[in-house]
Amino acid sequence: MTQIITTPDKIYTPDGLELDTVLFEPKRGTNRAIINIHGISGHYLQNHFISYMARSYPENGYAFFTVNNRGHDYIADVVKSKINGTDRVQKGSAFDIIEESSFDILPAIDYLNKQGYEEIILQGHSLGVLKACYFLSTEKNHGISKTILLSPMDVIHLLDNQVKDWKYWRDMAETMIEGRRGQQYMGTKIWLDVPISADSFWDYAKEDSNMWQFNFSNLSREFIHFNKIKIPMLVVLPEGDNIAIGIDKEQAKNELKKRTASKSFKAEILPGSGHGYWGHEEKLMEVINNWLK
Amino acid sequence: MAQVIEEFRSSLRSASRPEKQSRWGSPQPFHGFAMTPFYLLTNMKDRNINITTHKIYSTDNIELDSFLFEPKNGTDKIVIHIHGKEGHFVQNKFVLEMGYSYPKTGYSFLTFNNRGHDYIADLIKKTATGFTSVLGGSAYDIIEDCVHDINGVLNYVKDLGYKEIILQGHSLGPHKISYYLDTKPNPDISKVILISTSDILFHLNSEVPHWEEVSGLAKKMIYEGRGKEIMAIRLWSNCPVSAETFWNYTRPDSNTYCFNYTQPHIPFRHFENISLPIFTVVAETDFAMGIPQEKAMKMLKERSSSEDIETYIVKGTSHNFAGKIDELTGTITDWLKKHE
Repeated sequence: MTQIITTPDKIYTPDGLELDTVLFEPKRGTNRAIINIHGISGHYLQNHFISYMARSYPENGYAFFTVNNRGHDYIADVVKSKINGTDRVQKGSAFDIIEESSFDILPAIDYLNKQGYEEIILQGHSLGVLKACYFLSTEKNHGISKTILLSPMDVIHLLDNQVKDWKYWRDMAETMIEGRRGQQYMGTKIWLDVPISADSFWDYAKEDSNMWQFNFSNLSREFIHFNKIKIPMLVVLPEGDNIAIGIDKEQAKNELKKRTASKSFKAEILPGSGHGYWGHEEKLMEVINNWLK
Repeated sequence: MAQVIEEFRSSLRSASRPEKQSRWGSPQPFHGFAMTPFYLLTNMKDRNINITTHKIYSTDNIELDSFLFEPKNGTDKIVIHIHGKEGHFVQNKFVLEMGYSYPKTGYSFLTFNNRGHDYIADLIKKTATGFTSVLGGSAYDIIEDCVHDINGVLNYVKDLGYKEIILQGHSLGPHKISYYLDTKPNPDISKVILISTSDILFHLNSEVPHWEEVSGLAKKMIYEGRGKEIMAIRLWSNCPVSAETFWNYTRPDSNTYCFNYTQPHIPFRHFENISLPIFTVVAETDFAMGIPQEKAMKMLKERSSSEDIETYIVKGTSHNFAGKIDELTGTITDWLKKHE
């Protein structure tokens, strides 16, 4: 059995936020690592597949680095460093802005580089997929070799089906932001019962949103950011994930194939699985590990 | 801000193919970054410690994430850490430091997310058919529920073979420990460590305007079946709060009134009944007690029924012991050694 070294630690974003991390490394050493970006309202250890990856990736020669991003939990107390000490700020999914995701991913890459890792793979789950694609599309010299996208979500589909009168609330969010009330909570929630600030709602719902990437329910729209990624890519679509993707998964897979700019693209449907892979973690690991090999 | 980020990106580009260096050596601080990365500290850690992650279940099936730090040469003694309001299991830097220090003195260290972690959290709950999500976090925390969390963790560590168990709490953690030990006496617990013992009534009086009137409203909301609704008022630290939780903190017989330094005529509920050895550590400039620390610690000793209570004040630091983590950890490990 592979011996694994587990190292909990903290990293700091360029805007001073402290993010908790844990690195799982094979004791025999490796120079390859996988960074995990969690999704909305979750945290860096929450999904059960994280525990499977923490064992399976090192067994297969990859270190695994999972990181709390600023959107962890619904509303989180995040430590912020200042010149003369620390402060505390409210973050979490209620205040998440996709354009800030690069602030969280850059120090994670830097942490691994400083530890001597040379090949770095970026993995995202759920909203983490959107953050990974945004990062890979907008950062020119990201240094990422491959990407693993687990359970991408169609934000327009989610808004249409989970947020009643979302266009009304979008206008309300815009008005609140114009009135300098962007950090205030709205009178509505988004999916998963997430309380949400006006700034964050606007970020999800504005017409040119960087969240609108996997537009399976609006195929006339570009799959922005995703369609710019050229590095090797694995996308896993859980067959039963009907909340995040409203169309048949075979069709979704074909739409991704049509739109990808990657010459090494693979999409797999995981039969019987839901969005979080509960009870299907071993099958998920088999799919990913086969692709990594 | 834009300049800071661009400098950071530049440093990343220049660092993308670094020279190989010792994994646990002393990497150079990177350019373009205002703060010292914490890993400069933890890279100096002792690798004679096994660290593992665990998912523990409370006795009412809430999933609690945890880290366990164990000495490689084994031990049957463990310190279990209970974090405070709106924090989480590794938020305070002293927690990781304890994880790397306690095993050197022969104690394993387990820190876990309790159901009151963060302001509002998505908790996983085991059901008969799988798992579901429930709302948790400080906004919904009820002190009496800590029994489910603590018992779940105790069962877990006993199954791992631990025989001597010490409970340690920070901020709201000491209140949970006091309530637990007073209402669920457990022969498996040998000692307690209480860090930053906050006076809840002081917090309410100084930071929550008109809290007594709002308490009545919270009670009414519960009566109307709206106990889970978030109230318009916040608790200290800008914490959103449900009606049930507000009532739990503010009802006349609240089980959170354990350290009433500013209201000494009120019994120190639950704390007064703990007869186990107790070590209390507070920070000199911690606002959470409402009175000078020397006076508070004297009062604590007077109120305690333990024949073995010691207190320690860490000078020049506040509630989270910033800049004095070594002293905090050192004084606790000294006390542990003395009580072996």
